Amino acid sequence: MSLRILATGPLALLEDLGRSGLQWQGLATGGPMDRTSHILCNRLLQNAADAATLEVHFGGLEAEVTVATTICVTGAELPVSVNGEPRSSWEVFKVSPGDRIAIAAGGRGCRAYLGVAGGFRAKPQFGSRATVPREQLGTIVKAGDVLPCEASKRGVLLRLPRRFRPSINRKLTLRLVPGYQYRAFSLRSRRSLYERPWTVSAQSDRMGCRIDGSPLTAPTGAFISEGIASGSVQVPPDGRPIILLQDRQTIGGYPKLGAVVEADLDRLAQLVPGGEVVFAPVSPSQGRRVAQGVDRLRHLAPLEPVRC
Amino acid sequence: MIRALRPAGEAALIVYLGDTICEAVVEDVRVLSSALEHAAPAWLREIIPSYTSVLVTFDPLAIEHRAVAAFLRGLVDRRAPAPSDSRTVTLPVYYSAEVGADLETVAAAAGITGAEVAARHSAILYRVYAIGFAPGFAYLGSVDESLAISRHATPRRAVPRGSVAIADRQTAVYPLVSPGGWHLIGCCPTRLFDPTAERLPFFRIGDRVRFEAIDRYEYLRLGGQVP
Repeated sequence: MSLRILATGPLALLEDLGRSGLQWQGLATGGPMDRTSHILCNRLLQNAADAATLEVHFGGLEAEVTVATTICVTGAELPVSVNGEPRSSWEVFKVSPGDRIAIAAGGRGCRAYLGVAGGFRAKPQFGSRATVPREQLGTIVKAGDVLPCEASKRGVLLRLPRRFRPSINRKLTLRLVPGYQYRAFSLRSRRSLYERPWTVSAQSDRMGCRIDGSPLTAPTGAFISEGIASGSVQVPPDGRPIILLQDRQTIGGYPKLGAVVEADLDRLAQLVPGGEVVFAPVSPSQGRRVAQGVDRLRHLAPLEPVRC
Repeated sequence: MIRALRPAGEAALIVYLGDTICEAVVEDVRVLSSALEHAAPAWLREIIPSYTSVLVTFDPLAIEHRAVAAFLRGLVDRRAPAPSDSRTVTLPVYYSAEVGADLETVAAAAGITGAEVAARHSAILYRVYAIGFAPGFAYLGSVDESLAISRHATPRRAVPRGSVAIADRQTAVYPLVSPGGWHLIGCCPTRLFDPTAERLPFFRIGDRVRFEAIDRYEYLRLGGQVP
């Protein structure tokens, strides 16, 4: 009753919604880089939002199922197949014991979410199955691993109508709520943050997205380490901003310009290295409205039955 | 008492309670964090206290920044009750070059012996100023001025678990193997973070910490390891 992993690409890990209430103890939240795709994957499978899915970076995943169940792939637009026959993302499909499922490399975006009815079973650690390699928590999936899941005979197979599927682009506007040491940055630095395009560096990971461009001038002086909110944009002395993500450290002392709204972090998670970002300032209340919008998409977007 | 209150995203606010690292400010940080934890409003997600600030994250669908700010100001103004939950923790340390690769360097820089480094390091009752960097990693202050030493220019790739280290006037125990640039003076056999046992928290901000020098035999008996 499982998914037997035959091959993985660069990285594949189990994620649920992440650890909560433990950042004061120095534990990262972890969790899916593209929360919207994870949550919708679970909704399509009629799972709880925090059921564990497999976050597959850049494809390369091959697995054999040993159970009759239903599966769904969301997130990056990567080629999905069962026994070599193409399957659509954002649509639930049935699999039988012996079937081979593959998420190939290529396509668009970075991270696909493979979910299964009932979610992958794994023992929670500190209340979550999220994987944070640095903290030795969770599961980095390797060839030969067996991911337990249950048999399921869900009657109605669901899909997300096309118009609700998040678009994957080569360019992205990141809405930033200015805050933290924003005012300690010179007017010129603040202006260049918004005026220049930036490109996503290949050195990005689940801790932070590094962006390249003409460096900003970071304010000098000592800053005392403080709590780091999700999406915080910190500027180390080299002037190249880092957007701090799911596996970020909980505190840090580099000056910060503010934080990118969570909805845009989902889209940033799908932007390939070399992709372009521009920043646009928004007020906290505008940021709140964005959060309301993404919450509606995640939890209220209508699902339709798959027509066979 | 509140120096500044700034947004930290659409779902977070940061409260600054001072701009210098000192016992009085960290006590204010402890009191505000503890009062907020105690009040436990439904919109609250995380509280991250650190040195001079408290980061508060919340559910943006349930409350606005302005209302969170008002709530926090209210807690500070009313001197809302904060349970006095600070404790004193005693940690055994085997001070030795065998498990503290930089003990001789620290001793030489201070112009004293390794044994004197151990004596000065274990003579102080430290306070937890912040927790972070890694699970259970507590930043303790303040180290005797004579032992203050800046970080290595190139951090080590893997500092052994339990290493007791100094950076400037701060000291800490590495709860798990991690990269690190601090100077290592000994090792603590007590397990501060165990991914499989889920014992938390080991430290709370504001706790007092004392180090007790132990010998090699005791260190090994308590489960300590030598390279």
